[in-house]
Amino acid sequence: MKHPTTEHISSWLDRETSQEASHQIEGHMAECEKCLEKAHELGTVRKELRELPRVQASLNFDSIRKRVQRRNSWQKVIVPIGIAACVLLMVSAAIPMLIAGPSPILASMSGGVWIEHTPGAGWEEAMKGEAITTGVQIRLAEDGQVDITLSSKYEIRVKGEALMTAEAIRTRGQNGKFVFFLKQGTLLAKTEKEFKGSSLTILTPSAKAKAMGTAFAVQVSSDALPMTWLGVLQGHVEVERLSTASRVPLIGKGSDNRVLVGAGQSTHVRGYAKPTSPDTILDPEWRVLQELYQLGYSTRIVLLVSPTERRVSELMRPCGIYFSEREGHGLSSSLRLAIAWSQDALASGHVESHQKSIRNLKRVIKQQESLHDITLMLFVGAYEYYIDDNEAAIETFRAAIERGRQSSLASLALCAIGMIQEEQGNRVQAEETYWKVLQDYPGSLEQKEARKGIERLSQKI
Amino acid sequence: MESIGVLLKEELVADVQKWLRRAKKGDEASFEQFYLACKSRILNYTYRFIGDYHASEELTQEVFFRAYRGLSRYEERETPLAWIYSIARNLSCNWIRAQRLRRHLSLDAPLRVVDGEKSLSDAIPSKEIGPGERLLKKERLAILQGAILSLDVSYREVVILCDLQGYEYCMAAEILGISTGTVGSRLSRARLKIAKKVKSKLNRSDSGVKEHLR
Repeated sequence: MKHPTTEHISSWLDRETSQEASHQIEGHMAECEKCLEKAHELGTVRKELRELPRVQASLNFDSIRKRVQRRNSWQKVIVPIGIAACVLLMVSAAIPMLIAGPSPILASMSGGVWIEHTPGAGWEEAMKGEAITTGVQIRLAEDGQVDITLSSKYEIRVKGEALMTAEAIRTRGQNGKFVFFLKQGTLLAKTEKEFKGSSLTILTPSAKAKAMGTAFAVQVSSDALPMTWLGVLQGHVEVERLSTASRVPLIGKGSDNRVLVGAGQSTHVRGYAKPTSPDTILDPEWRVLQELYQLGYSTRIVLLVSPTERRVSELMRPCGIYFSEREGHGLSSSLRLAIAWSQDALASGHVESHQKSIRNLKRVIKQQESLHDITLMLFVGAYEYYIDDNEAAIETFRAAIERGRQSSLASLALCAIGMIQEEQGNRVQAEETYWKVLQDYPGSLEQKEARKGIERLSQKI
Repeated sequence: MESIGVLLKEELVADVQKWLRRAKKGDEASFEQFYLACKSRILNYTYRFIGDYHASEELTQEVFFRAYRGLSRYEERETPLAWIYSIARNLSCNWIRAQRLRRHLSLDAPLRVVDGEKSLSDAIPSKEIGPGERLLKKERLAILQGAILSLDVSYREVVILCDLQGYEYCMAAEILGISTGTVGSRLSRARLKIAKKVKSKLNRSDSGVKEHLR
């Protein structure tokens, strides 16, 4: 008889062959040493595979249930005042509008980082939480590193001896156009799903890179004839050669001035030459790109105030707070707990429970050293004001300003202090505070409110 | 050691279908029952598929979350298990794809044999087995898992379903959407590949083990 195939023997071991075929195979094996050995070999593997230990599932359904419940991305809204449920729904629907058009901010930094807010204004040490608007320049020392983030849209890391300018930061509604000019240094950029509809462009002295839903890195050497290297980790980046220093793309005959660099590829633009055709990246280049895995935006906490002059009165109404989290970048458990406390307190309405929840929130803020602090502190201040603990509210707002002088929320906190003082009848103090708003935060959204406050106070006298 | 005799009983299939039908109408408790009945299967499937215990735990949760979210797309004529396994398969493949970029850096990096597995094999009866043999056993487990991971996905999934999870050819065929004949041929080739791999690995590391025995 012909030898049965390996497949037959294997199926026979599983009793998946017909009775007739099984008889044949068994008959053959009684005589054929070779096939018997084969069956033995396969049988051993089969047995061992079947005996591989199972891993135990300690998983439970709770986490899935929770995720299902808060599925639609924006998860929870705390609104400290008794807004009816229907209004609350409207608020949630209005959120994209309320938070529209924010600027990217300096999310974190280390080493030497300097910033020039407008050309010629002079260099200052950069602060966490500062907004990056058109014209802002950032300079980094050799040990410097800075992460710039626009909430859920993208994150950029600039490092090494670098010089970067925000050429154009335009936000319209949920979308925006962001152009950065990297004169020298290394830049890593990662865009998120929410980036769809927006555009991120990195200019270098010799090239223009347009990103499309992607993670990539750019390096610009400091040579006389600058060289741009660009490597892509995910997605595609369109790299265009620029004409000499004028930063105007060359739209010439043919498309050889432009290359599309895909994932795992890199290109070089030397001087003002054409970009090299994309090639597979080398090991040392991988090391640069690997850092992209560290980028990713974290929790997002937003005060429910509009970016208008009205925001101070909205804060003191008081406003709600809005937070979202992303898989893998959740809120810390202590913050989650504190928020749960506040929700309970708001439901029960007891002063003691309010105090307890405020204490909890404050403890969380104390523990954390993150960008959300100022936002959270403002929320707590408004909360304290809501339960008529005015002294505590002023103190909290002061602490918030202390933590984030450069934050766009600092003027808001200061103006809020003025309003509380005015309400308490401390006219002199209130007037002083309003003047401080005018002096310290020229161009802030609170200018108008502060001026109105000063007017009101002078009329009363 | 517990072997994986998880041949699916008829009534369980009926139960699963019932749970999913109810869950589709919004009954969360039914979905939870479905989850409880299937989570271990899916965890073991993804674990063997990707070889990373912690990631497989996360993947398992993700599989059921996606299943829950996609309940409206689940059609009753489908075999419910085929449906949940296909989600697990897709997510596992995605995970592997994402990892490949990283693994690219060090192709020779030792395969991650998971804490869970180590402790499991440590806990396996030690009375009759001497330390040397235990080492062999542990090593064999690691080699087996490594061999599974070295297979192409199409072979890997057949081995996991038929040998590790004990499904009959027809069930595996239904889950994978291929014919029983294909299941049989892929399984035989996969077993052959694993046998070769184990043999070569054991030969290579024999000297080390012997040294240890001394």
